[in-house]
Amino acid sequence: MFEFGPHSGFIWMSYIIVTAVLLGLIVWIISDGRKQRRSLAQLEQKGVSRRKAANQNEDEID
Amino acid sequence: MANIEQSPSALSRAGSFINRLANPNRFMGFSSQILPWLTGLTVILFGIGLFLVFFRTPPDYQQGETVKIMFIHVPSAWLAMMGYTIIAIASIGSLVWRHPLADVAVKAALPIGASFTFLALITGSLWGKPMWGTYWVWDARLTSVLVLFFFYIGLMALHQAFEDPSKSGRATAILALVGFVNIPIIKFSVDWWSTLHQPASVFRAGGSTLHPQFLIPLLIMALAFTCLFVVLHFHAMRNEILRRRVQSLRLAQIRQSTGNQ
Repeated sequence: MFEFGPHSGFIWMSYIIVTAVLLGLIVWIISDGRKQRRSLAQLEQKGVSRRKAANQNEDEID
Repeated sequence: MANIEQSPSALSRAGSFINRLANPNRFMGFSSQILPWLTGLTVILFGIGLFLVFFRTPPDYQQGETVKIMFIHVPSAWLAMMGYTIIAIASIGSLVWRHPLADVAVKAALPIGASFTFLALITGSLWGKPMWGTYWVWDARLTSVLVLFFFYIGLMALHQAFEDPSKSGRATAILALVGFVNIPIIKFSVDWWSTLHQPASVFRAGGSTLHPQFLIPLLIMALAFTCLFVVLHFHAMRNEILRRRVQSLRLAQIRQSTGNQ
């Protein structure tokens, strides 16, 4: 059914490479998103906030 | 007269929509709502497109079955150029209006555009060998696309080269705009110079030269690739916004800990 004549290898190689590169890109972007969300959650759990730091700086200036 | 009066308000509405969206928090909200729908649409379009390509499209009378490579090569090449055009437009936003989201859009589009350019080069090469008898020739179209790939790689390297993100953003935006001159060169290279690569056959004056049996699956696959690009770009932009929040919180953490001492 999926025999594409004498140039079958070129056709399959093209589709395999496109699938591999796009899947790699998808996996990389998803794992990067998870990593950033995890880091953000850890920092927020520690009570770190930009507002807190800014207020602290203002107190020091006062 | 009515049109003249209506057009500025339509323009200003579009402008204010983009301005509102350019806020990172609003973009996060908007993208989280639209991404599930876009992802679903991408899957459906790929399903229909691949079904047509593998089960409905006949072999070409000249190229035989190798015409199947066209359905992934052409969309990859279009998106390689579209990706760079998005980067150039976002670079203007970054340099002129200093929109916080513009540099995020540039940085997020770089690896995605580079991937599609790589795919255009590889699939073109694999299509060229059975059709032209060679994997590569240094003609204007192939060489200008290779230059585009180098621009993507160079811009990615430049964005990583500075510690200060605002400096790296500005330098990348300037180089991206310089490199945009390559886009019309790619598009018109087949008309300006004698190349082995065939001239435009879809978007051309006088209409497409492709038979609907090939044109329809090609347009569906192009739409599927475009939706995938947008989905990946939105996800990568969301990641970049989160990365910058993490960085600023880490800085805040250092400030808090030094303030307590």
